Amino acid sequence: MTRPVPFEGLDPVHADASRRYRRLNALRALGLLGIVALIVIAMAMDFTHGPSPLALGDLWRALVSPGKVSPEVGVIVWQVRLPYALMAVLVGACLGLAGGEMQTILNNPLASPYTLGVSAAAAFGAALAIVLDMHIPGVPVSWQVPINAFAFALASALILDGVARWRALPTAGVVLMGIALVFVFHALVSLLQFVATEDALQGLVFWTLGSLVRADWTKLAVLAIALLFGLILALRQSWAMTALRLGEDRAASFGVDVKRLRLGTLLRVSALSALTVSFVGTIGFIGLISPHIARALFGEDHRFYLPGCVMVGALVMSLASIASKGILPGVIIPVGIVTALVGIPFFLVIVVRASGRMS
Amino acid sequence: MIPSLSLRSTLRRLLCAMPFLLLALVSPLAHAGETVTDMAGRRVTLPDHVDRVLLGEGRLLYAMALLEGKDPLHRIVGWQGDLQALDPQTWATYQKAFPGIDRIPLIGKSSEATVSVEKALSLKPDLAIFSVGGHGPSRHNALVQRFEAAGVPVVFVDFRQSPLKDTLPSIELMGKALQRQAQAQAYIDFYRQHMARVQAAVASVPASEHPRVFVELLAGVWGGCCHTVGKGNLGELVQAAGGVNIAADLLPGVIGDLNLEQVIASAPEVYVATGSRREGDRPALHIGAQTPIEESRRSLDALLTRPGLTAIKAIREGHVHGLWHNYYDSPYNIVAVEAFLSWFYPGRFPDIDPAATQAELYKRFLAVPPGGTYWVDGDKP
Repeated sequence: MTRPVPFEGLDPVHADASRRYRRLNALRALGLLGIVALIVIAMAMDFTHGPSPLALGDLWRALVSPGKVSPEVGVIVWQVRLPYALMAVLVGACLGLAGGEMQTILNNPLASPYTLGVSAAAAFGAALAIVLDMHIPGVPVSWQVPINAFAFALASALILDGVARWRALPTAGVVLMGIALVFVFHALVSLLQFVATEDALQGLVFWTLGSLVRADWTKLAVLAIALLFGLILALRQSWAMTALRLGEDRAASFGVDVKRLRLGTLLRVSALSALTVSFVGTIGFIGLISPHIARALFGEDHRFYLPGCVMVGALVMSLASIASKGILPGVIIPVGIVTALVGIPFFLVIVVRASGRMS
Repeated sequence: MIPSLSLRSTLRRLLCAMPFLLLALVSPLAHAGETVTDMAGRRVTLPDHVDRVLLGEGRLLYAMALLEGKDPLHRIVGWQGDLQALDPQTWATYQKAFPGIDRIPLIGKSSEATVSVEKALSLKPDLAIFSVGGHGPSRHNALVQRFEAAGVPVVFVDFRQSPLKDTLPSIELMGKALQRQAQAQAYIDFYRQHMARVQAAVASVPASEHPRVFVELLAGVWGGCCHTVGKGNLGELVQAAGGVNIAADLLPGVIGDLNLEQVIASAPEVYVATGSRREGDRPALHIGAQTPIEESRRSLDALLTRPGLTAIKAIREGHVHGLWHNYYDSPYNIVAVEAFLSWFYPGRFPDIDPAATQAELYKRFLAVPPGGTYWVDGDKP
């Protein structure tokens, strides 16, 4: 929640308030830096832990002079550990940002890429490719599933956007429409599962559980660029979004074009989350939970809240990646299974305690 | 008031019982025969005369064909669609010899969820043979109760969960149920004789020389790497052939995904990819009936170009092989065991020849000609 800054009043009070405000901002910036430090630690743990006992020295040599290590170590570092660790951070960051913006513009704490149907639509697109071998002609084999998933996720976002514009839906209506899309796409996926052969079915189940194993350097680059643009655009609107949290009328009175902000942002973050789930499969919960944790830590000022969503998402996802490798050594547990289990303690400690304090 | 109520409730009961009564009327009176215990641990009284057989999995044909001689399909009145969907080449081979295969009704597609109870009941089988787990009706399927209520014996067999332990008892069971005891015994003798040779060969090798093996199930089909089998299923066959399955002690269940890094670190000495049919232009091992060996080898080589795989010891050193995936659910699995042995100990046991075993199996027991490729070696680097 925001702490109102009184601009009028007696001078000493004003001075005190502005000092407190500056101190609070400094604290929040420190908090962000703290989470960045935690992400770096988590990534380092993720990178240095794996089923093969590689010494830190070997890892370092493989990083700085890849030509001088054995091919096995080279593959382990450059094609397994590094891409998985980076993918976890990027995926968490993108889903966190998307969820954070969705909750603000729809003014609904339940909004997330998952609850608005983006993930379900992506799963349907993937299922069409996996089960029926339906794909856009000319697409290379390894990209058929992600491109299908992206196309359907984007289409679902466009449907949501179109209906919202056409019927001038209130925000609650948009959320409801999103949930309706979730059910529609889940039903369609079930229908495909029903006709699928066992091996296709298994492929689909593994896809929907979400996995970082699909990471490669091209996908990492695409996702990093998308995140960068997403974050820049989001931060440019952070004032408007902060104003929106005070209520639609207040925001409008500040000169914010609420409708345009809402629809433009919805489309942008839907595209971002569509891209993310198309690469790694459906990973729920991160997009829903990161904004709540960020809000509890950083309040409603979107200059801090939005980067907070990004950082918290990245941190939780990185920890989930460590867990998905560590629970059964040598075996990959789909990361989508682990995220909720890893995220719940954060949720309980930070969000539940914070809301307990508020009441 | 009261009499009319009881009349109504009697009527309702009658109506509820109608389907069962009808079934009891239309199904031929089953004479009680021998009572056996099936592979699901159920006591089943077999009919003493069987003309109409329903198969819970299409791929139970692999086993049924061993017992039925020159006309393997004539008693099958219905089956699940998995043979057609998952092994279209074998289907096509039988179709060529027995065009009537197209007229055998399906009770479902290739998963248990698709089984139509009504369709299965309407086929009026004298006997139903189901698989323990897999792609058709399983132990808890409503169909089992319906059949039992209608007096149709249901026999469960298993070629998948514990192939080493259950293959021969399942064949024996099917022999009794189908009144083909002599044929079943002949196959059991054939299988035992070949397995005994393998066991003797493996026993002559000290355990420390058993190679580490990585089996990648349906390699390439799901993208990524390292979908594999732990204990049970093909893992049992690897062990029977004197191999150490690297996933056996890692996976908690029968199947799962290993971390590629783990596979590299385990340094397997033999790599085996399984595959079945061709599907579009997706990476997969093309193997099985009607598949030329050149195509099979090309598809195996293409699989090895997936990122990171060359760091696996067996692949780097050229100990790469491909195997027909459906051996995981087939009584012909003795051929797979011999193929494994020939890969694990190349040149060491020249009298164990999977090709000769396969040829003998077809010649003595099956009504279709052998053909295609069921195992293949990769190119040496």
